[in-house]
Amino acid sequence: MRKGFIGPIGDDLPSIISIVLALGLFFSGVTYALNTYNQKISDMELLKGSVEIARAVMENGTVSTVKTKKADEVAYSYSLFYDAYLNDAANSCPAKAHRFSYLVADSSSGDIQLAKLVICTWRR
Amino acid sequence: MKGQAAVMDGLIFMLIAAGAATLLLFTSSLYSASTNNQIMKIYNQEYGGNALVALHYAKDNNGAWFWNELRGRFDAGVTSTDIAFYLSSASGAKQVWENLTYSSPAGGTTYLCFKGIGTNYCCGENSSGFSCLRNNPPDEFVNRTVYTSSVKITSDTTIFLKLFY
Repeated sequence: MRKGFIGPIGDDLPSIISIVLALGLFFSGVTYALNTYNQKISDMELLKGSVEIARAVMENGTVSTVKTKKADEVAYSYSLFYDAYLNDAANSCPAKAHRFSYLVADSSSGDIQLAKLVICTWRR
Repeated sequence: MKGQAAVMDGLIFMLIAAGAATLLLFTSSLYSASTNNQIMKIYNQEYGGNALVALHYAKDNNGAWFWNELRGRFDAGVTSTDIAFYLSSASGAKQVWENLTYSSPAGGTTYLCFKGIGTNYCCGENSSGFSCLRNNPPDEFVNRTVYTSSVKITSDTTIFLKLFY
C-alpha cells in the first residue's frame, strides 16, 4: 500500500465534500428563485382576481350588494376565496388575506352615499 | 500534492457555484421588487379610476352633488381658499373628503389637485392642516412614488387624484 493512500474514494474525499457543498449551495439558490417566482405569480393572480371581483361588484359604478353572482364566478375562475364588505362591517376575512380598498357609491340603502369597499382574497 | 490539487479544484468549483447562486438570488430579488411595483401600480390605478367615478355620485354635507358644486365654483372663478373651505368645513364637503382619505390606500397623503386656466393647486393635509396650495404636497414629497388619475370637470379644469407613498 502506498504511503498516505486512503483508498479510491478516500483520496478524493476533500474534493467530493467541497463539490457537494457547492452543488447544495447552487441548488438552494435555484429553489429559492423558483419559490420566489411561484409566490409572485400567486400574488399577481390574487391581485388580478381581487381587481376583477371589484369590477364585478361595481358594475355600474355603484354598489347595491357586495356579493354578486358574477363576483362569485370570477372568484371561482381564479380558484380563490373572497369576502367583500362596506366600511367596517363584519367580515370573514382571515388574517393573512390580501385586502384592497376602493371608494364606491353605495346605493344599498336607497340613497346613494360614499363608502369604503374592502375586497379581501385568499387561496382556496 | 494530488490531494491539495483536488481540494483546490473543489474550492474553485464552490466559488463558481456560489457566484452563480448569488446571481440567481440577485435576479430573483429584482424580479420580486418589479412585480411588487407592478401590483401596486395596477391596484392604485384601479383605485383612482373607481374613486373618481364614485365622486360623480357623491353628495356634500348639504345634500348637493359634489361634482356640480365644484364645477359651479370653478365656473365662478373662486379662489383656492374657498375650495379649501368647501372641502374641509362641515357645511361643505368635509364628509366627502373624509370618505376619500378613509378608503384611500395612501390615507392622509391623498391629494386632489385642480389644474386649468388660472388654477393650479393641490388640496390635502400638510403640517399646518388641510389646505389648497400651489406647493401642496410639500417639497419633501418630490421623491415619493405617486399614482395619478384624472378627470375633466369643466371645459378648462381637470381634477387629479394623487396618491403619494
